[in-house]
Amino acid sequence: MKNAPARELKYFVLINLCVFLLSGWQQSFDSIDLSSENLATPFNPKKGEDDSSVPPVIRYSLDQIEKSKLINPFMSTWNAALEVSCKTCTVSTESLRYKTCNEQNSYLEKSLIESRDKDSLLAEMLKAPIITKSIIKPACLRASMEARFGESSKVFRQCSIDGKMSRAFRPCISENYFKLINNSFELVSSCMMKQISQGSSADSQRLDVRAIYALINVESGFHVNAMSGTGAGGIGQFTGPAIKDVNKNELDAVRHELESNPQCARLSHEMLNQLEPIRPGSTLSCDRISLENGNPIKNMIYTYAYLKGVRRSFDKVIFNNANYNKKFQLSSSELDKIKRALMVWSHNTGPAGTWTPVKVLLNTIYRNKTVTSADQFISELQQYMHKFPASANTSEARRKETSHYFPAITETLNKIETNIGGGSCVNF
Amino acid sequence: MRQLLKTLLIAGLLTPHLARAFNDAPSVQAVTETKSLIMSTKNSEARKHLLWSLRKAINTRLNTIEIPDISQVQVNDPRVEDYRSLTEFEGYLDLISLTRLNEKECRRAQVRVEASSSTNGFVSKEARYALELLQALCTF
Repeated sequence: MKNAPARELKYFVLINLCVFLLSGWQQSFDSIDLSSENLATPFNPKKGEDDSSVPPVIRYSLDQIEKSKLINPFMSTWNAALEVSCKTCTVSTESLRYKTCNEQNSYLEKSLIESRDKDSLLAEMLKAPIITKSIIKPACLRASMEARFGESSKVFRQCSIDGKMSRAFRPCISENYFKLINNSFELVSSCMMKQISQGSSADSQRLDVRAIYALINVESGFHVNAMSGTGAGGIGQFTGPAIKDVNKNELDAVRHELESNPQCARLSHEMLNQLEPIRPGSTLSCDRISLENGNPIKNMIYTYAYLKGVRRSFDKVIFNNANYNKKFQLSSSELDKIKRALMVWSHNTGPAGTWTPVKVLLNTIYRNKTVTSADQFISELQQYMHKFPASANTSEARRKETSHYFPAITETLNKIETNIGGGSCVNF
Repeated sequence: MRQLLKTLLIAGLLTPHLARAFNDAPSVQAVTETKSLIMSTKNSEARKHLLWSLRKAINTRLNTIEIPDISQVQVNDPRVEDYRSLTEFEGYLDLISLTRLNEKECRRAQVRVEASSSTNGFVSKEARYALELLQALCTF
């Protein structure tokens, strides 16, 4: 009798196993009908509702193309188009002025001057001239460094030799510092942009870099030692889970890709092989900001690596998922626009925080129709981000923050592009 | 009959408890049964196919479940919350659909699920629910 329950349980499991085996392992859940029955309000548009009414299109679109690119392709060559772009960026670079450092903000400058004499990638970035034919115009990067945080902002930290952090003023934006940021971002972007958007056109890849520029602009203003109160640190404002994910899931593939390109191999050798990976612990934040650990270059590599992982996740969850990918009836450039927006949004929400409202949108509004406008979809997503966040983002403050994140980034980007004289921050 | 009910009750109590996220009964039942079936076979292909079937079933559920007019509901409506939770869970199921069930890939998937849940280390109940399934998939 004591064994009766165990014996009956054994029979129960065996019965289930037999059913499973007899039906073959191709058993589906047809036997479990998950279609809803006898539920309440049918999900139908209200009668008389104007189905053609479109929610307001997001005002600032992330892919405004530089006006100077609109040259009749039959009338000019690609080189001529480059010339038009470069005239603008050469003038902008020449007009850059640098701040005089003082005792409070020169801590980074001292480290940079010392670094110049070393045999390192960092030193090369410092000794080279400012790259002007860069993917992102130097004037835009400079605008970010000046505008995002004030000189006395409390977000900056400096690290002692033993890894202890202390508050600091915004680093002095000297020629050395600006050159390091500009040249490093150009090197990492040119080496890693194909990893973000494999198979996309060259223009689309540059627009991805523009999106990443816009994201970093908001996150850190391209300052190597920005630290948030939540522990997010450095250029890409990384937290522990993101670092852990990059270390486990992306770094090997990133190394391989970099080392397969002779112009980029040194990035891998020096930043990823010779130096320790960034450590995820909250007490190890100096890993994310100190020059000694390869920053800002290393943090930029991690930023790209993280976003690469985000794109891969979204491919798995949405764009290569047979349940969802057929809902998109868009040109490749329009689809890239959506992918770009989701990539940027995920940096704030976490990937689940973006895929949850996307999937709800696709399973409700787009249940019986397809997505034919990227702008409309992104606009609708703003609302769904508020109503259907991931579990981590359900507080009212987070709902507001996450739903506003992407629009705020695009609005800031458009202001910068207006302030530098119109056009795009991208050199096409 | 009483004996059968008693058996089922005991089976329910002895089945390893899953962290509950959503309350949608058919979906909860599907997840519970999938986990049991996964644990009852050592065949990797069978396990992967069971997960595939579950994903398909959950997606069917999301595409047929009736929810109120989105513009009318309140943010904290329990039906909205349940739909939201099931949708988030579906994403994690996609992430744990591995082509190879080995220790390395399983560990990578675990880290990816945890990192996807939030930016600050919070692992949601939906993610934990999926990680339990992952553990079943990866335990031989």
